Formats: sequence, C-alpha cells, structure tokens
Amino acid sequence: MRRRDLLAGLAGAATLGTGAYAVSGTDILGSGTDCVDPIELTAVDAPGSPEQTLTVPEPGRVTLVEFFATWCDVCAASMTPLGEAYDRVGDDVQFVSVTNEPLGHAVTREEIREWWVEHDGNWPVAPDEDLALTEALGASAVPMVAILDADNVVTWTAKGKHSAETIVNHITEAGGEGGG
Amino acid sequence: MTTPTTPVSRRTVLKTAGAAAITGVSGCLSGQNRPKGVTLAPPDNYKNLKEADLPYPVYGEKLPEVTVPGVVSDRPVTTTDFVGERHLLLTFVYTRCEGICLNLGQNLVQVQARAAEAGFTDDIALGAITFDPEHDTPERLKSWGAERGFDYDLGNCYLMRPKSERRARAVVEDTFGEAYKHEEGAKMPFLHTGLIFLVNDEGVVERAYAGDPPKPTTVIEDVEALVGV
Repeated sequence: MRRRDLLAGLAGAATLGTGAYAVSGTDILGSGTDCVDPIELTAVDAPGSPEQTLTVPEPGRVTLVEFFATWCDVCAASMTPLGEAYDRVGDDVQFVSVTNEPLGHAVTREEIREWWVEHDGNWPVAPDEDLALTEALGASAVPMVAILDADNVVTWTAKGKHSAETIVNHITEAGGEGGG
Repeated sequence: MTTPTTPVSRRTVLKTAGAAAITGVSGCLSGQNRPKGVTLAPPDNYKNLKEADLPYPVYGEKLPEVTVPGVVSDRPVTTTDFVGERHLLLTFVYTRCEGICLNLGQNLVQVQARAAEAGFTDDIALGAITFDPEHDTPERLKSWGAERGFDYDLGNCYLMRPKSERRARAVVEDTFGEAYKHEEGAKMPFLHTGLIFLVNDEGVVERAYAGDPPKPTTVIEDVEALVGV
C-alpha cells in the first residue's frame, strides 16, 4: 500500500486530522455486552464536585463518562451541551468528567479546578491517575463520551462534540430517565 | 521453482510441523524468522503489515536517518543519535490540528510522565516533527508542546522543524512514510496518516502505530516492556 492508497483510505476515515474528527460520532466499542469493572477515582474539589471517592461506572445507575483534557478546545466547547444534558437528567444518572492527563506532570488538581470553573462545570470531575478507566473504556482520544447502563455495560461511546439532545437520547436508551 | 535435490527426512518434516504448530498456537514467529534486533514480540498483524508494502518502516525495520533542526535545544537532531543511548518514540504533527495530532502528542506526554515517575527518563526520548513549518515557527511549536504537557527540563523532548515546506515533505513523507495531503484553507489543512514509531536503542522499529491514535496504556506497556521495567 503506497502513499496514494493510504490517503484514499484516510479520506473516508472520520478519525483523522480533519474537521470531521471533532464532530463525528464514531462508535468505538460497538454494541458491547461485557460489563466494565468499576474504578475508584478521587474527585477534584470544584463546583458540583465535592472532593470524594467516586466509583465509576456506578453499579445500579446509568453512567455518563466524558473524557477530556484541559488543553482541548473541542472538550471546552462540549461543556455547554454536556451541562444542558446534565440539567435534564439530574441525579438519575451518574455524570462524571475525567481527564487522563498525567497528574502532577501535565496538569495539577488546581489547574483542573480552574478549567472546571472557567467552563461552568457543575458535576463531578476527576483525574484518571493510573489510566485504569481510560484502559477499561478504550479512550484513545479526547473528547470521548461513554454511556453505560445500570449493569455497567457500555451502550454508547463516541468521540467529539455532541448536542444535548443526542446525549440525552443515548442516556434514555441506556435506561436513564432523561425525559425532563 | 526447482525440485529439491536433498531428500527430506521424516524427522525433519515432523520437526517443521512441530515448529509450525507452536507458531500457530502462540502467534509468534520462530527465532529464525524473527527480524534481528527486536525485543518486543511481533505485532498481531505482522504478516499482513510485512506483505502490505507500506511506505513507512514497520516492526523489525531500521528507522531512517535524517537530521532536522530542533526547537527545544536549538540544535539539529539526527534520528540515529539515539542509537546506543535511548529508545525513541517519534511522531509527526502540526500545531493547527484539532484532532489526531493532539492525541498523538498526548501519547508521548503520557510516556514522558510515566518514565519520570518510574525513573526511566534516561531510557526514552520523545520526538515530534512538524510538517507545517510555515505556520509552526520554533516558538509556536515549543509552546504547543508545553501546553500539551511536555516537560522540557527532563531533557528527553525533541521537537523538530524542517526549514521549509519542501524539506518537510522530504523528511516526513518521503523518508518516514507519514503520508499527508495539504489543503490550505480547510478547517484543518492537513490530512495525514497519524504515525507513532517506537524505535529501540539499536535503531530498529518495534512498533509503528498507525491510523487511530493508540491507547496511551498500549504505548506505555510497550515502552515498559522495551525498557524492561
């Protein structure tokens, strides 16, 4: 496969260095049936996010995990639709934003808190310090959203930014209320 | 093809069959077929990769030698400088990218952080070459790296900037096989393969991650296996 074939292949891919990357809803895991073992994360003390141990995904409740990075513009732009979705589903769903930037190297808890304040986050936010959740959910890029049902089975994963409507629809499909 | 003149004994046939069975079960290449100078086991799709005639070096192939000006230490960097010294994780980016480059860079940052934490900073170098030198001035490239989380004080970061667009094409595409298409005016002006090479301290490619960025845990595990931690 030479250069021309490679580029031809790339043109169809939504995952590369094009505008499509940031807005596509590429399924990563497909319709998985395996449940994900919960991981314990320590939340950053920030608005809507008391400093406490989070069990993610939480058994018995639909969970939404948003992987982000503090350097990521698309992640910043995703905060508004995520916030709208959060307001609509409330506590019926575990909402958590997770950064897998290396803590203490690329980012500090204080910097995560500042980013959270700046982008009006008001639900739990935590670093994935040993990349355990990143590994479990196969997060190779940011932003990436994963929704899991009450049995911790992944029902939807997608990269990029999504509307509140899309997010709420996928939450509803996973069994979360999200009607409000 | 000519007919073999040496009769093949039953024992040889059995031995070969045995070896083939082992290869089949383990998914590994036998010692004889494995390329020289590699430490990691072959990637799962090695046979296909080898036959695909890819434009970039894959498992078991030498990393090409090229010299490109550096922007962190302001000295030229030669890709073979690391031979005998360090393993190398090398990728290709442009700072206007809002997609894959961010995650390619992030993989290098993750490895740098893990190396610093586990004490093998001296064993691994992190390199990124821009293919957009017109926009990526040395200052822009350096601050891009800093924003992503590269710690320049650790002394194992090598951000490189070919002097011209023409030179970038020669280095990035013609030498390393990172194919790209430049369309100025597009929201993201380069479409590219998205390669990261993991090269051992003998200058041999152990992994060429292509397409979707690899999971950071995959790269960290491969680097740790290579370093032996």
